[in-house]
Amino acid sequence: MLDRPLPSAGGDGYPSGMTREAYRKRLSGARVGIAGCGGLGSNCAAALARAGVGRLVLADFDTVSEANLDRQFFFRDQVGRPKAECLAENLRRIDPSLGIEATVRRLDPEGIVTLFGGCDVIVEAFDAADQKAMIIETVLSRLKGTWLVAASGLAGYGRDSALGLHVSGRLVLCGDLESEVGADLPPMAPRVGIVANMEADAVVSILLDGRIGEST
Amino acid sequence: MRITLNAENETWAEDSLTIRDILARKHWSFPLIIARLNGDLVEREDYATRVVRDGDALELYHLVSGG
Repeated sequence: MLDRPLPSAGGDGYPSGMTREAYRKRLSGARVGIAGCGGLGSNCAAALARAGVGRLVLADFDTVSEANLDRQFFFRDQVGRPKAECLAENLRRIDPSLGIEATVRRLDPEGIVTLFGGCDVIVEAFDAADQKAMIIETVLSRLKGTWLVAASGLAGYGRDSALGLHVSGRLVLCGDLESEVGADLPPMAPRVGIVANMEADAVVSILLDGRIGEST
Repeated sequence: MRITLNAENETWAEDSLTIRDILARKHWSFPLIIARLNGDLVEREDYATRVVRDGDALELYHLVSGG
């Protein structure tokens, strides 16, 4: 299994002749920023760690609460502790050799440029829409060479065919662009997990192919 | 004018429209939008003045809370 080459190019999108080890080698040299360690960020980071991304820069100001355990990659004995630190611990349990920088702080435009300036790709994993707008505007105006993978529209359940990937230059938006979290539409583990993994898959595509879909 | 809006063709009789005009035509009243005109980010305070003309590529993405 380990040495079996992945399907070669010819319509299926895989670069020709690359093995699992070749993919992992390329991903191990990458550095990915995770802005927010909640439902999106914690699950996206876990997928990237398992896929073999070598360096992850985590940032979140919040602490783990009992209510987070319904969808976020944390455990009951971590309640009350900073999410960024707990996520770093959990990721190291997957791969102790991971390079992880965990920062407990609320991100503003300055912090985003300072913390994530050296990343190949940044993942937007905030909760509030105004914070999503803030990081998108910051990266598009101040980190123009950096890819940003963001999410909008993931609340509730079902309607999976509405979840899509919207590529605009080096900005990728994952989600249905409409399902907003509210009292009658909670974030639920399956759909949050799908979008978190769509974000992770977009990151992997960018790192392996240097592009996503038809973009350049 | 003929433009692309989120990669789909749109045709209007006018020679130009502002981004705010286009949002109104589409009945898009979303509070948080990311707008890119020919790839350049357009600041929110410029929606009423930034003019879209024939041949332009406009992208408007709706941001909603949840993560």
